[in-house]
Amino acid sequence: MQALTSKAVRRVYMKFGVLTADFRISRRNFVAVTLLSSGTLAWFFVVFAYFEDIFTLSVKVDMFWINIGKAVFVTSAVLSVIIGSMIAEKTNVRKLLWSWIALGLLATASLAVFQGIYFSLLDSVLLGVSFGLGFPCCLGFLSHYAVAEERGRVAGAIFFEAFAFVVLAFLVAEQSLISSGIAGVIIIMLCVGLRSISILALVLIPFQREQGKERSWGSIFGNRNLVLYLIPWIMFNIASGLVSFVQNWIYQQPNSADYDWAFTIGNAIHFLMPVIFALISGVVADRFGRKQPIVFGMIMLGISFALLGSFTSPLSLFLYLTISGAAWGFLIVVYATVPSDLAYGGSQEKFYALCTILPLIVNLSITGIANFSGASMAVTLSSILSIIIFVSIIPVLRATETLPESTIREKEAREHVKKVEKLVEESRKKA
Amino acid sequence: MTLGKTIAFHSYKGGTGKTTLISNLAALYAKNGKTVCLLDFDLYAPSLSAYFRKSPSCYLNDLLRGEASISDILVDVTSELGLNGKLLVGFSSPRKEDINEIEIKHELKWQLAAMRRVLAAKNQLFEDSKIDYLLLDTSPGIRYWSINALAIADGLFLVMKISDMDIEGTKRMIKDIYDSLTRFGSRYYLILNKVPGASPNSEYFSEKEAVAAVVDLERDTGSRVVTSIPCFCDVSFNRHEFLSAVKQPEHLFSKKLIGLSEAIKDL
Repeated sequence: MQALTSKAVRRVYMKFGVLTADFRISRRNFVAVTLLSSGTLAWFFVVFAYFEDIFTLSVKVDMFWINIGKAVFVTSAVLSVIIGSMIAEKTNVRKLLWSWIALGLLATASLAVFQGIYFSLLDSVLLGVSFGLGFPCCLGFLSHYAVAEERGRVAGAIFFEAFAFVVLAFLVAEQSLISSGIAGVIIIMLCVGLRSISILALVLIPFQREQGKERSWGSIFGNRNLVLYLIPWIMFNIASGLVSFVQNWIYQQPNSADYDWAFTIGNAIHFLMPVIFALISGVVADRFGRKQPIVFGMIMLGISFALLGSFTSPLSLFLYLTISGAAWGFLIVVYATVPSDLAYGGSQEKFYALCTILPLIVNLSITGIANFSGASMAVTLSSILSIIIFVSIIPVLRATETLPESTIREKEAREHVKKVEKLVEESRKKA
Repeated sequence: MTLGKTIAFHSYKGGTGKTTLISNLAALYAKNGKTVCLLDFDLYAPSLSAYFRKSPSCYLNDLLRGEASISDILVDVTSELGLNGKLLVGFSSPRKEDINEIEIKHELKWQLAAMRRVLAAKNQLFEDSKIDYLLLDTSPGIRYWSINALAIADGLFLVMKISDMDIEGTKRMIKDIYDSLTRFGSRYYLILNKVPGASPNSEYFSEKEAVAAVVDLERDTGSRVVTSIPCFCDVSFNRHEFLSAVKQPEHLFSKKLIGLSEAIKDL
């Protein structure tokens, strides 16, 4: 049994080795770059998901103020992403990152000590700033430390780690909520732990930012290729946010109890799917180009919306949650890769702020509004969203592939050489 | 077991003189009594049919499609050239539709099926026709049919000019695919062609620099320069240079080719 297990582990390692055999990024840099972003990203999702629990440790706060706090958190994250992307070009990056991590740890840990409405609102601002100020810089290191032909896989590893951390954190948090009276403290400790992961990264390597050409926001918005890539991503996030209103509609139906299993298991799988598909997306993006995973992801989301809209049932809801989770895995990795491709070593943080982070926050905001208001929209919205998603694929088909064509050709050539050589060797043996 | 040698000429860029060299080499071997088969694997920009001025009824493309055998596509040019041995030439189709077909047929299944036909044809040539040399002219750069042709060769000869662009490009190409290609025993060598210095106005040319460049090249590529052929305008820029090595045996170009043929025999 042991021999079988170690054989299986060796096979997985070899497969992983094959996928990273052409990596130019060193192992140290790879670990540092991925950990720098993944811990903070996981932290953001966990804080957002358990906002109420961590803000009502010892003092009961009205739901209205909790939702205001959430809105303040997201708004300050948005503003600080924009500010952070601008100051990254002008400041010492290591000092920025250390300050950013320290702020995040302080803002998170202080939740265990200070409570109440006013502190909640102040801390919401600090939490948002502690995410946004340094995160574009973190993702921007992808352009410096990873070359184009490996960027997808490195980005895939970031999101694989982040979603894996999120799943683990959710498991611990849910267990503590069920069985413990100090669930909020445990969740805060989890969040502190997740933020601390970035410290490991800073200890591993002295992050340096390549001083490239500084670009204005105008020139970035004016980049035709960027706009063509951005349209599907924005539509994806808006649509994913809007479907929360459809879910509210399902909750409000008389037979909503029938959907309980779909929501519970489906949501769990919804977060597991990106863990797997983030890695797949990275491999596809580096091998075949960035456009293919975008098209896959959009088609998957379109199909899942169509299923939900046309055959509304617990099964279609479950399938929607599962397939959309996979779509997230595909898309989020590509949209963490394309900004580096397009930035050409200049103002990559602004590209990340615009392309990766802000659309995500739009999604969360729409979801937040749906949860806060309880408003619902009939399930036919889902069918309309599916058509919009399919149509949104068109701009990216018109965009120029950002993975260099020579890279795609070289990989194809190398794979072709292997296959042809095998054939020739067989022929030589027969002769 | 095949006893003959399969030699492929390749280059990073076009215009290095591959077709001229390999055609002359084929004719030289045939003049010396050998049985030689020359195949035009430059399927994307075929030139041998223009060089030999032939329009055969069947082309290499037909062999790849499985619509013709190797004996159908070979043209015997021995008697018209007055050679002592035998020279058989297989041409690629210069028709636009055939070139387009090759350009777009990337699917692996078709490629491997075509390769099996090529390998079967190669075995037939060595076993039945008892050829001594199979020479393959290929397309420059990294293209499917260049790789396919190089894969079946025992010796790969990279023809290059001594310019920075060519040198850097060749080094990259060696790193990208040659190391994989030579895993199963084939070897690659370098041929420097159109080397400046043969011209009388050579005050700008430094032989010392050229030698130093060769040393660096051998070190950087891990390979050997088997010959260095000077640039001859009457060969390179003649509108219809045709088998100078056979027609003008006293020309320095021909003597260089003889040297190359001896070097290949000994490799």
